[in-house]
Amino acid sequence: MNAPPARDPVVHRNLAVLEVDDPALLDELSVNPKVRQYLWHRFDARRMVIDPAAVDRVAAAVQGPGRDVVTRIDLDGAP
Amino acid sequence: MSSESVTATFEGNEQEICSELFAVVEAVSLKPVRLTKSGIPPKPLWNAINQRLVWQDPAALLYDWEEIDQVRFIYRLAEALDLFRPDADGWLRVAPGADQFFFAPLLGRARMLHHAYLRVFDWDERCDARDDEGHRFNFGRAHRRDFVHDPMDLRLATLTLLDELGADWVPTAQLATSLSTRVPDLLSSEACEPVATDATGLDPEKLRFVNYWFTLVARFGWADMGRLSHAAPTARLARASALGRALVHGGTVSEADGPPIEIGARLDVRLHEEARASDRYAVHRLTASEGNDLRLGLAGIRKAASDGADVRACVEHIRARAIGERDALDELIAQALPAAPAARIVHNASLVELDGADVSAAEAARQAEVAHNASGALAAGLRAITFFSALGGEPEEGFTYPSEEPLASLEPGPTLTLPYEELPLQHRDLLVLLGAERDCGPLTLDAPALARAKAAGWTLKTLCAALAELTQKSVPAAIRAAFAETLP
Repeated sequence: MNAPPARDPVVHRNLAVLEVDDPALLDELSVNPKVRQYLWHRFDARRMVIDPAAVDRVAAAVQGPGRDVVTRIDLDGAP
Repeated sequence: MSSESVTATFEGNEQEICSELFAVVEAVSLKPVRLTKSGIPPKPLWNAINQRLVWQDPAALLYDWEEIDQVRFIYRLAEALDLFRPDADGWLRVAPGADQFFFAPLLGRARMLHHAYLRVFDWDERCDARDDEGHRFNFGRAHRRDFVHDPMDLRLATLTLLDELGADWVPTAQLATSLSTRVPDLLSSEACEPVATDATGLDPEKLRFVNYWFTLVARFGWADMGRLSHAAPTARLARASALGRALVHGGTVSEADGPPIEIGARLDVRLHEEARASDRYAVHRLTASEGNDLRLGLAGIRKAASDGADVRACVEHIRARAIGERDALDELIAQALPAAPAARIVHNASLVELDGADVSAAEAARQAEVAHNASGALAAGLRAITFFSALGGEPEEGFTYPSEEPLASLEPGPTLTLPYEELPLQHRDLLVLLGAERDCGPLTLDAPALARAKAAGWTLKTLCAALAELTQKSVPAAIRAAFAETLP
């Protein structure tokens, strides 16, 4: 059987991404009803695409003693 | 052509456009500025920007947004680079793109500038010309915005002139003839007569435009301009700069060091008159809350962090460029930066959906070192531009968020209809949970679908909020009542 033809790539622009070292943090966030609606797509274990208009609310839900959230200009690119 | 006979050279200098872009950032952050109801910036901001420009608009024109081509160009270019953006209430704020742009290496900045320049809207090179009396004198004489080719097509066509250039001087008449041959109606409106050319195929209007365009890209640092000592004023020469050649043909290019940032004993900062725009930006970002004092301190750093700055990138930039009291600076950095943040937020990211069968796209993702998996590649800022370049260009199909158009509609049933062929990324996991596949068909929001959402932690309130965002309408009461039978 022939493979189906490749589809044209589709791009989604102007996203905000929450990137963590410990995937458990994203698991925890995913069941938090306060921010559930701002989490758009779990890209992989360490990255979550979030609503760019709700970055502050998501950051507030993550922050706590010993849990800093910072802004970075780039994703780290590592798996 | 012997370079000795070339006089009056205008050497391209990338710092010029960077300084003007920084001028926009500085003007936006001087005092709170809010967009007017029509979505344009208020007049005091036009003035604040214009005062800081090398290429200024005449003061007499500062009454009409449509007339101030220099201010409008740099404002729209800064906007396309996401150096600033309005918040939900229309107040302009320095945006994440500013860190991404100013802290990129020289060639990276050129790539970002190239990407943004193609996407500048509300400004057209063909309208940025005036006669000796200051009246508008459009290239091609077409009525503004009636051109056959839109500004992006014009820029793509004209940028190919850089491909024809190397380190040697080339007459712009030759380049204008080449452009004229390739795109005869580049400057024409639909109502224009066919373009008249001379015996050599040259359209004099294209020459006037090409001469203008090279002064623009010289401001970007991509080209140099010159003139032969004995030639007429319109007989100009152009060549690609080292940066322009690296941008077009690949390769590397190094940035001149420029004067360092001087740090004093009390962490007061001195910037040289000729300081790089990125140095000015880094210092400005961390000291903007300190009034006129350029002094680094915890308060300024914390304020910058709360404003969404990548303070690590700012302080690392300053540290790399600083001379003087570096120990005091290191002490401040140790105090100000969390050692191991639990989470990082990255803005301006793009996700390109990859077809598993497209091996070349996956290879491009690997080359550009972007986060990727079988279904997509996720990148931000400069790395996204590098990835698009490796991919052969940014995909045309796609979504920009927030979407101006509804991404779904909700009908009685209840059924959720997705109007586009591709699934949006907004609420993607929810849509998949409700049964959506990449080939979008209507989704019946029946009890099993709602039960899956409930099991994943969705409540009546959060589900209705998500659907309202997708449809850009409140969920009708009857549908909400139906959902309430399943969802808490």
